[in-house]
Amino acid sequence: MTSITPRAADAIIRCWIDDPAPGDVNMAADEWLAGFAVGTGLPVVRFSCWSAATLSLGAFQESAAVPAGLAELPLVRRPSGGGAILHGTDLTCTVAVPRVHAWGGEAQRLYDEVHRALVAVLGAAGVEAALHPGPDGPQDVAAEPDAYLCFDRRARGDMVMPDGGGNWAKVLGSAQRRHRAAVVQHGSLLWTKNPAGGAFAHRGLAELAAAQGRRLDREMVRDRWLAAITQASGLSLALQQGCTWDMDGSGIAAIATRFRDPAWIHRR
Amino acid sequence: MTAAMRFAKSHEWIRPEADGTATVGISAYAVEALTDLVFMQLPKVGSRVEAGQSFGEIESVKAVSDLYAPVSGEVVAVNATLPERLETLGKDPYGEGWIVRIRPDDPAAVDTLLDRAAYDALVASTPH
Amino acid sequence: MPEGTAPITGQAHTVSPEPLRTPLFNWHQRHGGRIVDFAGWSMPVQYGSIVDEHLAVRRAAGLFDVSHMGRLTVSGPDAAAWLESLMTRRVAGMPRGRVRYTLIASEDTAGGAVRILDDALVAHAPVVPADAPVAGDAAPVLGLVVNASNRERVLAWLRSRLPARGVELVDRTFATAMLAVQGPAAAGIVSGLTGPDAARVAALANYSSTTATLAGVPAVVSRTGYTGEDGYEVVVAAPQATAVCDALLAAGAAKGILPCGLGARDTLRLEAGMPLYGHELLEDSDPFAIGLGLAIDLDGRRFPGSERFRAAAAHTGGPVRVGIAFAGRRAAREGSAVVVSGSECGRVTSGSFIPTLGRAVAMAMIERRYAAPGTAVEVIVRDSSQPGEVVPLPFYRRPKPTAVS
Repeated sequence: MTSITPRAADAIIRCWIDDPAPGDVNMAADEWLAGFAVGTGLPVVRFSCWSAATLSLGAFQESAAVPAGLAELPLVRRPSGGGAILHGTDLTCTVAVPRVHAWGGEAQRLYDEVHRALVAVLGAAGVEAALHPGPDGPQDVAAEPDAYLCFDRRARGDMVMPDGGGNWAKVLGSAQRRHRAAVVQHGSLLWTKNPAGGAFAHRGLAELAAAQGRRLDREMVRDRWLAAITQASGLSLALQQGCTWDMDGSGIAAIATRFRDPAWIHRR
Repeated sequence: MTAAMRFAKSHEWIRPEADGTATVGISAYAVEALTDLVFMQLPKVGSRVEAGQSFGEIESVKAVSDLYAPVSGEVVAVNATLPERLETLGKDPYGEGWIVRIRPDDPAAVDTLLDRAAYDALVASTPH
Repeated sequence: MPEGTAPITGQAHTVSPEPLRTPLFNWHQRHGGRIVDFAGWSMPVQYGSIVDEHLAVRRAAGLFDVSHMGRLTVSGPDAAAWLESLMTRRVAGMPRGRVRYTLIASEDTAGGAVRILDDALVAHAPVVPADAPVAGDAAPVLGLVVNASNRERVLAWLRSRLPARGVELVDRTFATAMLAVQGPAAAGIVSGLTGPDAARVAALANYSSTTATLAGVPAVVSRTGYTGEDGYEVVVAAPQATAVCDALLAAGAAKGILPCGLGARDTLRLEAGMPLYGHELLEDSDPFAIGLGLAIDLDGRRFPGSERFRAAAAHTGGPVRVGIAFAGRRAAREGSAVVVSGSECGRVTSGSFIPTLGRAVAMAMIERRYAAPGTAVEVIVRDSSQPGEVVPLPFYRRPKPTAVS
């Protein structure tokens, strides 16, 4: 594998901002990003939303174990690990980084870089948020390490916010798939409570910020988060329209068929 | 024995045994980089592995990584209890933390991999 | 200082506890810069006295960090045509190295609401990004410099209009630094550091740019500025900014160069009668009434805001921008009422004591019938009334350029 040695001023992070898409397309686009990152030797970012409420399973979760209240939802399986995520009211931030890049080394590094950037953006807006210190830190009463749902777990570096009741609510969690040449990190920023989630749904960033007296604009948070990630990388930022407009040309359509395959979705 | 141990760039180690098989695991560096391992998926005994191809997956709290076969061959044994005690990987990655034993198609293929010094140099040059 | 950062929240007065830092933040501190929060950035307002810094630019040279301004590039085969469709001036046919002042307006496709988002410099840049094929004119790159306070919304607007392919929009603000060297000695100082490029840099025409090696560092050098004085603006990679600043300061020491902060930048541009976004130029401004008609090219063109500007061009009667010179030194501030014969006829948009003139001046938007030079006005500064008169803009015009030494 060859890597491009970036010239500081000209090396760029590419970012695609996609229209809402179904789960198989989102999964495929994120895998496509990995190839792009390897090809350029530089990190790439994709922000996306979900066109329907969807449950994404971690790579090893058993599809038969989906809680009854969520069993009717469309299902996809991520290549990344972690717990199941209820999508639809979240903003998904995928970062793909070539392994030769400084962010492609130790797993926690990329996790922290991306999450810390959002904490800084929120801090600048007067919204309190923090990175969870991990198992030794304050635990939500509801947090269980083996919970089926990602947002019921707490890992070091998860972004949490005061929930007004003395606990810290998780609003941003990420999980990685570490390919040979690239790392793909799926991040889910819960924006508002998902009406499809019933008792499993949690309040999101917008609602928890409102409880702190701050009204947040989603696109503004997204753009500033992106700027903060860019600044942390020391690179320039190239903005693109979404990458899912040309699914056939890019090969995303072909990748998506793998994510629609029941053998993959129900592999466990 | 560890003098004969070889490493793949993808951080697996392989050690030829006296019976013509070879033991495979992942390096201490890889375990350290992943942190907080929670799950491991192993191949079945009797299945084939291909050099450079995934033969299993390992999940940490943050990440899923593939395990890549350093050489091609047939799986003759797996460390079946390892997924239940993944902490062994951290404590003894080159001993009790072995993952699979394979019968290489070509025993000489092992010699083409990195020796300890070359692997250490690779790790030292890897971004942190 | 003028301009506030656009708040991320719906609240008007969000204070940013962690403003952004330019690559020169430590350099500013080392040189005694007094740091303030400006448009979300930690910037030096002054190093010593604003008057000294102002006068250094008029008499010798001043060195400004303007890295907080947004630096964007647009490249790809459709870059020029695409950008042309969004700017109030033609930018597609510019020769390489040409720089042009323009406005950027957005138009709500549904309701047709037009907002002037910013004023900007667009350059047909003499640079090719490293990741584009280097093929002469086959890969044109257009550069934009936008105001710090508007960078985010300009980016968001431009992104929303990006085609699926053929154009790449890059924000290079964080990876680069931009310095301004302004003053009659600027040409000698800057060109003196460019080695074999010196003749080309010294001969650079106003509103044009070139690549050069400046103090050993690859740079884009433009003969532009915001002070009313001769001068240059240079863009270098962020890691090299400190070394370039040190070299410029050392090269200009004998000529009297001073590092200058945003305070002097504001008094200089005010003295030169230059409008500032957020003060003279607002979202709903009539560009013709501000004297920015030259930034609107309506000839056979359609672009966001073009129909509103066409109507504005045909209509006269609203308030216009004027200069007001005061008898005393007390400065009127933005928002102060301008009064003629006892009745309010406008508001001050910028005001300050001006070192070169030794008196206070202001720019104001006032009713057209009072805009004739010589009209006596009063401006209410807090509780007192300051007498002044309408004067032509600019307040200061630099002497005819002399031969470059």
